[in-house]
Amino acid sequence: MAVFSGDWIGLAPAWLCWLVPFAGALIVLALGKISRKAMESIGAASVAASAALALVMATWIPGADFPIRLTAPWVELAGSSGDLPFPAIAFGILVDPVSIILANVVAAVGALIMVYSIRYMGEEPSTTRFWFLMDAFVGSMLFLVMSDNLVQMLFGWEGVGLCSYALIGYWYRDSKDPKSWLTTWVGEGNESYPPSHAGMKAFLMTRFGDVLMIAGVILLALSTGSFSFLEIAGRVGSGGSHPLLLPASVLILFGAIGKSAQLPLMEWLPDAMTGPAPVSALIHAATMVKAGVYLVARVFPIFYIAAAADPGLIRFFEIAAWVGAATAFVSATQAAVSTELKKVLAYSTVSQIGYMMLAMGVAGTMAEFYIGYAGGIFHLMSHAVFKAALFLAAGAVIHATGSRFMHHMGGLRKRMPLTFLGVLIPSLSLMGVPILFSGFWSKDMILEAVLESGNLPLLAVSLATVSITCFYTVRMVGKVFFGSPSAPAAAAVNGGGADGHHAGDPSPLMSLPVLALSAATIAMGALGVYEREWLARLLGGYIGSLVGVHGEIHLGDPAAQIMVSGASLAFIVIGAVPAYLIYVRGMRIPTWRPLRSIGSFFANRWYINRAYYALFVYPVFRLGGWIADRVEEGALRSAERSAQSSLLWIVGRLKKTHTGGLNENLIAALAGMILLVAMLLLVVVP
Amino acid sequence: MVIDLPVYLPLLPPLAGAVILTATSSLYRRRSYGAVRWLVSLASLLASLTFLVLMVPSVPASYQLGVYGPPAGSCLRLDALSAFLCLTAVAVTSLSVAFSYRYMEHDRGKNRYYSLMLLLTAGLLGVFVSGDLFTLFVFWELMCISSYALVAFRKHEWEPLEAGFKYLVMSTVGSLVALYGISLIYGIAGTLEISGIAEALSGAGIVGYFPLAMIVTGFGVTAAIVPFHTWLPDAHPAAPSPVSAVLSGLVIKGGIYAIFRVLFTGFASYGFAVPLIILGAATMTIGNLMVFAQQDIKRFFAYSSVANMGLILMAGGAASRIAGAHPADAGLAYIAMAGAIFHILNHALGKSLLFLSSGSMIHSAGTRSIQSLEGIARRMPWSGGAMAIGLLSLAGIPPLGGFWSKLMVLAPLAALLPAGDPALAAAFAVVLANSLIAAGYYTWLAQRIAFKPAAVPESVGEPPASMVVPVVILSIMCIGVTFALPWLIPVFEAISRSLMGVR
Repeated sequence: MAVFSGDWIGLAPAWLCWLVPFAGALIVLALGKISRKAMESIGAASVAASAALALVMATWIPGADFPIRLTAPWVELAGSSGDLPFPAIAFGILVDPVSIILANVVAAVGALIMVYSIRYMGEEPSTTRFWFLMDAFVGSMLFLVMSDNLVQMLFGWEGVGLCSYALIGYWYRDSKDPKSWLTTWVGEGNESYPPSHAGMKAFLMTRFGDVLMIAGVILLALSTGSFSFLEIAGRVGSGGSHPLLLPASVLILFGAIGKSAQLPLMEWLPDAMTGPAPVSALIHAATMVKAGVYLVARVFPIFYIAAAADPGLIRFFEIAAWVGAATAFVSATQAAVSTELKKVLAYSTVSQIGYMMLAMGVAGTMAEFYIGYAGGIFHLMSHAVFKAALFLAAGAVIHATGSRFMHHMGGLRKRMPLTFLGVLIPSLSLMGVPILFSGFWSKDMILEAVLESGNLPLLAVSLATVSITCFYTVRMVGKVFFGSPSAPAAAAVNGGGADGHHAGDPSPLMSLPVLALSAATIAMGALGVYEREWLARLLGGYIGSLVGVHGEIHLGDPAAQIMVSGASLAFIVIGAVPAYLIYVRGMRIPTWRPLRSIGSFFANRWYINRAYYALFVYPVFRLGGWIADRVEEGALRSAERSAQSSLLWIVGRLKKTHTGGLNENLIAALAGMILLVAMLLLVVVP
Repeated sequence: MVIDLPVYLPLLPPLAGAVILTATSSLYRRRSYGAVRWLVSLASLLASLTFLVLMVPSVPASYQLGVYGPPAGSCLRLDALSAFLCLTAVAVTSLSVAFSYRYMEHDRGKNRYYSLMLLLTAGLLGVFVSGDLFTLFVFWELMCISSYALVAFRKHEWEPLEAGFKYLVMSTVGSLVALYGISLIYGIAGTLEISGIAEALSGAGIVGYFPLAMIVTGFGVTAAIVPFHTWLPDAHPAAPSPVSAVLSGLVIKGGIYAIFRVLFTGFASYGFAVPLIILGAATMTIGNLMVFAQQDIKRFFAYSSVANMGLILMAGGAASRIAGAHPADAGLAYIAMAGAIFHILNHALGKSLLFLSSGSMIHSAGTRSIQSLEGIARRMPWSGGAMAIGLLSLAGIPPLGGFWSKLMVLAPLAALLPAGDPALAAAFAVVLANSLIAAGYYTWLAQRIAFKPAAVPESVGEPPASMVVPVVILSIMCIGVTFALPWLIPVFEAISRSLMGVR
């Protein structure tokens, strides 16, 4: 069914899909001062157009012979031909199932979120900035996804990081008045951060990973002689293993860890919730934070082939798997005690991305890599859809109650029925409730891969995380929608507050995207059994052709599947039932001291955030203060003063010789001539 | 196409213009003829510029004046260095004259003013093209005497009168010393033709050092070499700003030109490098330090002119030292000399820019005090911006012109540091230290002019276009020098080779 020709024109959707949002961003900038409506329409329409283009690409999947790669010369260093080991950089696009799937997720979810934003951001001042950055973000993200080499990818990578930074700090004025504090800040106590701080934190932490990643990219290019994913994969198999490959792989993994907010660089994402809800939904749940998983999926064939030649490289996958599992567990525990609605979702995002990382990691350690690989991509897709829905719905709830704290919500089930539905369905998917919800299929596929890999500690951690996930999801739904309405929230919902018009469900333009995403979750769940097989065959076949594994794709034995489903069902019940009893039924449980201290340990974010501040942030401030006090104000200033005073002293003395009297001047001139003669005769002549 | 034009031709229009202006002055007494006088002088300068440009392809050219042949007769020579300096001189003078129209509009006796400017230009051009010392001295006196009169042009004020008198006395003493030196040279060599002196002097021995010292002293007064510089900080600020621009930008270069020409061509066999380095070091250091004591913007610039002359002298001395003591590295000597010549251009452009733009500020704000002029660039963005460019160029901030010429002086000295020559090492240290000091005070002044809160009243604004345009042209030239580097550097290198090549 190949209805396209393999040239730049025939593959136009592959580059138009990111060019259109970039163009949209520029038009938005121009329209900002002219017409708000036009600006919003263009802003949303450009993303919708790129969703349509992505859909066109999806129609290529059945017929095309992947990978399709188009390149044009870009940067050719003088020594590219052989004098220097540094390869030339081509500009290229890579069309394959992985990039097409990602492009569809990004553009389709993005389009719905943009529609939601029209109303959500409607009352904000200076929305030009929002629309410009959102469009630029979608453009950068698709540019990243369609890149055929690591250098080009880094441009998109940094582009999304920049937009993310600017959008986290969208309310950059950091207003401290209670109303703004309740909606735009994040955290409580001494871990409470204003938007601009959160933006900077996100920027710096991801930058830390990026710097390591750039080093890794350079090492990889030095050891293989190319930047292109496919070329590296082609070269890495021949000619044995290179000693730089393992360090390169781990350094590149750090880029993924930073972007996808995995341990040890996960602390920025929970605080990134200062951004508007659509930003959290699009950038910090559905798309950008998946870039790390995508990066691992992109370099997966390279290191999979390399690991076949040098078993030492298995360590790359083991590290990825353990990082993912540990992150999934740690952040799930934090979600279980979080007091803020969006922060619960943020921790949950981190945790779910941990699952994806885990899936990619275990995939690399086994021959049937496709279960893990397809599971990771599948979970990426389903999570993008249901988490976007959750964030959008959470945005509506926060909009309605005027607070980001769950203890200001409660009992909203009746007042906001559509929003309740828009939270409930994605929540069930997040929990992995069987059969009808996409999260069940994708999460079980990951668990299956972990089981198949035979790594029982990993399986234990990931099953425990299932329980905690269910616990915090039910707790969240219970606290927000069940129970009795709490005072401030009740005031707003009953129309008593100043924000009376917010009571109840938001306008259709905001509800529809949420419901559409919820419906997509159910659709993906209903078709889950086919979908997982389709994905496994597609990705297994494609990656298999890259790594040279051509075997029958079989999705594990039924026994394992049933075992995994049964186990995960049991763990769902273990987590969900107590939460149901406590938070939905309102059962009072006796507080048990050790449980409370564990809870406070979780609530303090395992003290990781504090440790980072104590180790990296405060010492730098102190050092800066010390330098300002001692070096700048002290040493430099006094040196400056003494230089100044000694110069002035010299000038003062010198000035006295410049009397301006003609007699003295003439005498000086005469003396000068005599001196000159003396100098000539005494210095030069001998 | 090479048109064979006689070398004196560029001198004729300014001389003729001066004669016409003076001869007709009694016919047109009314003030409204100011524009006519201005146009006449501008036209004669542009004619001179045209001739010069036409003559560029035919350099080197020479012309024997009168019936006597060498050694007694007068001769004019236009070589690359002369042509370069003549072009610079006419360009800067034209801009200063253009600037004068509105600046001098309330002064009386503008026919005298313009004819003096033209005579000054003619004298300057004559100095640059003279082939023998006698002709040089005649034009030298023409230049000096018109300068005295221009400094004291506002004769109803005390300051110009005093400064002009001081300049007159100092410079005349200098001229007499130079004349005495010239007569000694004639006595020893039997010729005054500069290119012929060298051979005759080579056997003279110690006796030759006396005329050498007298030439350096005599012309050094005009070149403002410490300790002969004392007249300059009085004379340059006292003169009207366009005159200050010409004096600081060009006339003092006449002094340094005469020294370089006579020393490098006539006294080629004599060692004068170390004294030039010492004089240059003293001139730079004292000039730079004295800048800090100044409250008056024009005195500030005057002392910085002293410092820049020191740098040029120092570069010449260093070039001579390298060529003499390290013949293997003669290439570096040419670079240092090219740096000196390049710095003549940069300083001519930069300093005339500074004096003209400060003239605009003084014209508008009515004060010369730096304190009162703080922040004036906020009121006069064009003049202030141009001044900032001039300051940054002379401060040696890359990529403006001054950076490159200082680099061309410093680089050969740095390259020879391993050679362990104490004179060159000291020269390097002094030039580096002085460049830093200079960069400090220029940027400091730029900051005060541009970024401080405006101290002048709101009513102060840009001067008329005829005053803004020359300043802007000069600032564009300061920037344009950088873009012209690929063409300029070979030219300067060729000039420096021809100047030092007789050795």
